[in-house]
Amino acid sequence: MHSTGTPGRTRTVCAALLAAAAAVALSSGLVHVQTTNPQFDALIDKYLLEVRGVGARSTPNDLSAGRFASELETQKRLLKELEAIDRRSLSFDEDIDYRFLKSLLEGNIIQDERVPRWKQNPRVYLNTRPISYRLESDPRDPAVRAQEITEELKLLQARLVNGKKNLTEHIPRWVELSLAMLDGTLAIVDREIPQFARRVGGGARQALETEARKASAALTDFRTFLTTEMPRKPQGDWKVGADVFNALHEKKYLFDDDDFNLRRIARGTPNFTRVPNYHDWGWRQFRVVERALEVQARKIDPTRSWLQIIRDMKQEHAPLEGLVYSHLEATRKSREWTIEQDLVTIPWDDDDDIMVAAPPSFAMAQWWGFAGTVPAGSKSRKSGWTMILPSPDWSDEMIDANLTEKDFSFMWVIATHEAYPGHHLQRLYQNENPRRLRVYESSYSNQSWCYYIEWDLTPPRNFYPADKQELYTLEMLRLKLWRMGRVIIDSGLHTGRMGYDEALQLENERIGFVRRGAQINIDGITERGSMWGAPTVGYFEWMLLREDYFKKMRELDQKGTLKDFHDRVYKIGFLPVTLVREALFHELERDFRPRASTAG
Amino acid sequence: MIERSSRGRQLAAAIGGALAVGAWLTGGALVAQGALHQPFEDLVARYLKEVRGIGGRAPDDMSAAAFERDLATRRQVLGDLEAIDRKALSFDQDLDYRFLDGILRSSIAEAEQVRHWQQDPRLYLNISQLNYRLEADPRAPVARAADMIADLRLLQARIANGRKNLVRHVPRWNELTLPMIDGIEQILAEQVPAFASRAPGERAALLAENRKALEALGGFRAFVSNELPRTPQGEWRIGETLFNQLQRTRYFFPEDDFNLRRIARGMPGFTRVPNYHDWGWRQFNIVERALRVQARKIDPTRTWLQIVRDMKQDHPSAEALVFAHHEATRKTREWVIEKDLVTIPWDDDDAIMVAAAPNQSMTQWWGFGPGVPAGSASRKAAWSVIPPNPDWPEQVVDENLTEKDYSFMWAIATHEVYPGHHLQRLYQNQNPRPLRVHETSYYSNQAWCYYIEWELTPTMGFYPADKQELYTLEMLRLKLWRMGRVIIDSGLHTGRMGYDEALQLENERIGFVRRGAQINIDGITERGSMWGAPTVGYFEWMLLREDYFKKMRELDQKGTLKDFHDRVYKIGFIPIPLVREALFHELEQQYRPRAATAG
Repeated sequence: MHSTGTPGRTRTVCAALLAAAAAVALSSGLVHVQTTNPQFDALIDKYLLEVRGVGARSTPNDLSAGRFASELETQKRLLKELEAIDRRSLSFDEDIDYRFLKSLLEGNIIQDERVPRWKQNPRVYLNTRPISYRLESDPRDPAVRAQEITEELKLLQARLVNGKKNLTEHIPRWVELSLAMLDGTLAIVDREIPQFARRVGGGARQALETEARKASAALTDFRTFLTTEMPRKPQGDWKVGADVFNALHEKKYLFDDDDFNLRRIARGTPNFTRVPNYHDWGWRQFRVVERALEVQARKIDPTRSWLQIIRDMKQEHAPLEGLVYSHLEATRKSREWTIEQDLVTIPWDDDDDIMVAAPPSFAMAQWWGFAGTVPAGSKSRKSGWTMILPSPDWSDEMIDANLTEKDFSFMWVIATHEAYPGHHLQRLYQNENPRRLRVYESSYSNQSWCYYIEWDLTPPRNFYPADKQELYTLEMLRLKLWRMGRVIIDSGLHTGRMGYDEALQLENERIGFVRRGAQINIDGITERGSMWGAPTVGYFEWMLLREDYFKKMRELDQKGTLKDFHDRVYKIGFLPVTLVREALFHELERDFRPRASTAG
Repeated sequence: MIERSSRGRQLAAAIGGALAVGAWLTGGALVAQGALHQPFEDLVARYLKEVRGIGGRAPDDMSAAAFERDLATRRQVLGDLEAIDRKALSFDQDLDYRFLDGILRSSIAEAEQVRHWQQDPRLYLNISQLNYRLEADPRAPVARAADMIADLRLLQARIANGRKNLVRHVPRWNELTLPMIDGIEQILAEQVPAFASRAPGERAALLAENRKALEALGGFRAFVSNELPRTPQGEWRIGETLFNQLQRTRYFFPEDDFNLRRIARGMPGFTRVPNYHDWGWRQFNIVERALRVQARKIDPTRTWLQIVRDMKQDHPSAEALVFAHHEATRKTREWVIEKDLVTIPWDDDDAIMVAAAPNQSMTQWWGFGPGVPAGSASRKAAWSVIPPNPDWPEQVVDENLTEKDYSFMWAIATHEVYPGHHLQRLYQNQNPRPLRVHETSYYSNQAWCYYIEWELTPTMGFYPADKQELYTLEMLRLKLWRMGRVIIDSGLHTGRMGYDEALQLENERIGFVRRGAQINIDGITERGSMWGAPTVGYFEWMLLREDYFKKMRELDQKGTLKDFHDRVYKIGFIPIPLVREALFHELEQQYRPRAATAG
């Protein structure tokens, strides 16, 4: 199923057969599309159309205050309509989606009502991802893309106008980050769009060039607003507070507040999934992993601390000019490794993941980069794992520091998380999911699954170069420490138990990030309270579920396998883990004890 | 087509390998001929004939009038080129238009502003044709002997013109000319008479011409030793204005491409002096740091330079020097096939190692890449090593051998042979565009070999496994050397660095022995801007490779390294911005044929 060397016509026939086989493989087994309540499916379509903008949307979201208000009202209305549905009329899968949709709506409503970032964060108005995708990666004809980019540029201008009206609170660091993003956006509008426009002819080119000029002027005007007017506005507070934090844990992530088995596997105190205990649990796990790092470091060199070993190791990185390609090789290798280790079925042969340099607007969005970008619902299976490269305008010292964190150890440790069987493969499965809601929505569990890949699957299965096994295991543990640190920082910052500088010190001095990298990591956490710590809990949920899968298989008189467990999870989709658990056990019961009751 | 079993190979040969290979090379990615604009094709043919002397033109006797005539011809061809309506050209013709435009403008600027023919005696002593006919030409000796007679006549005419033209002197260039004369005298005194006996019908005429040439050489030696030093001192610096013009017109370097700046860590305007010089230092420091990191992995108690110097004591003996390299040469081809890096669509191609002719002993410290002549039907080439001269002092011979050690050999072999210069030339000779057969962009060609040397070779199992770390250190040193070339080239030619400072840099910080460093720097004094440019080109290739994969994704395709390489070899080593255009155009044509043309 994975070979790619079939020549000529045979290849075409094979591709057709494979595609059909892949479709059957993907839709068989787990998720059953048994529409028993058309009203519920219609509600999902409505949610996707009105909230997510999937399909023929009447008016694009211009981010006006009115729009934010109407969107909140829409979500409240949809939640009411959802609650009015009789759950007993739903099929099993619909009932799972019912609760998934409820978690999404409740989570969004809490955030929209209590954390109106659109009044504080200028970056909300500067999202140019759809433009960058159409510029660089969209496989459609340039003429179609040009037309859509023209519309996107109009939308950008409308958003900037609304941003100037909506932004009423000032958070100095966010303005600073917005200016860097704005510079990158200007570079795209002034340099890359005119270059792209030359690929299309006539009126389309002219329209695109005209709109780019107007967008450039609007961006420059927005820059003036940010530098002169914003600082005069009252200072904003980015903390979400303990109530919102806990509400999201309960409603959005569906974290149980006292599951004994989860407490057992996660070494959790009672109520450890709720602040303030959550914060203390973060510290407990942090120290557990710190001890593991000390043990691992002694195996490598008893005369140096683990941090010293890490810092020395990180001097060895690809030169900047070879950075993207060395990661492209690691990306491609992650697919081969997944197949070789028989970890998950990859039922296509036209799928691919490469490494690309991020557009300049992302220069301060992350310190490292982000996973691949096949859009939801796309037919393409080609993705680009995206790396934010040092800007040539940074100082030498800063570029060098950045490169040490894009070193070979980090690359090998993170590649399977980001590409195969991680985020890229997750998205490929997601796009084939027969449940529409699951194509367009996923949960914290998606990221947690990649922690499971990174910490549990990858290190013992020969992905790292043999002569680097111990060293890269040390780096893996450091990345685990980083995510335990996220629990501490996320809950600490947003509930007032930790200040920005303390968080910075933790990431810099105890986790080993260079200062600027740590700063950008923490900036991300300030923007999205509860989001960054939650996947760490999810990792323990997945580990417990794997244990329970094998136990369940035994109960069903079956031999469980890792691949079977993985395949089933990818097919169900990355919903909150609690829902995946229900779906999985229901499926196992149905597959192996079909006459019994449905509950798992 | 690569490395078939013997039966398969015979069969393919019987079917007519040449035909199949020709179709492969001209098919697919390469240059669709389409509707050609004939006046442009005629102009290219005229350029090749009248300027490059391909296909019939009186041999260039290097008289002052010939130099003036050549300049006038170039100006005239450029004028005719400018008169062509570019809109009438096919896509590939338009690329060639700009390639030819760059060649003409740059060579005119150089001819106008840098009159080396008035100060460099070595220009009049080029006997590469004669050497080729003596040692490597696959034709019958009788045909070669006839051509050699003409070569010897031309040499005499050139020497006579040299004595008239040389009106200034550069002391070091005079110094370098004398060993060159020694080497030529040796060839004429020993090798030509030995060859003459292989062509009895031409023997007498060849020997007679040879005697006259020897006599002319003796006269030239006296001229260079006695008369030339009395002429005013010459100036070899080309100056900042011409330097920057060449960066623009010959190499097509953009002045402020953000993506190139990003990958090369370049400041705004880094491809122009004075920033170019500073950028050279920036890259030099980066590679020095990489050397220190690599050295710590090998031995934390020694500096990288100490490790390199110790390692270089391990070299083949002088008597085994050629054959050791010959083996490495052959291994490069096997490695390219094994790693599936580029298609090698022939089975009659080969490269060997040979000792360079004695006239070349002071032109380089190491040697030269292999070179099948442009347009030749043969696919056999020889990579040349300059063996130590037996008349050198022991110490110089020993030092020379340390720089022909195993680490250098393994680090440089793929650059020089497969998939480097030799394979480049084999593809070039098959290119359907005549301009690209006879012209290559030196910087783009050489830059590609840096890419092979620094990026492909170290990571793909070419070095012996037990030497991987050590030879990676040597590779980094060779990268440092080329970063140093940017500093030295721009520094010497724009007055920001003196000869002795350059020498110190190559000797003390890059690790060349003093005599080797000196010869390296002599080369740089002769050709301002030429030696640093490939270093920029390396970053251009690295960026293009990134962008190739990105483009393939945009076209919903899976890019492969081999596909990228194959396409580049077929397009040819023209300035990289032109290769970029050609590559993306072809990809668009192939995978989205109905869309607009530009990529």
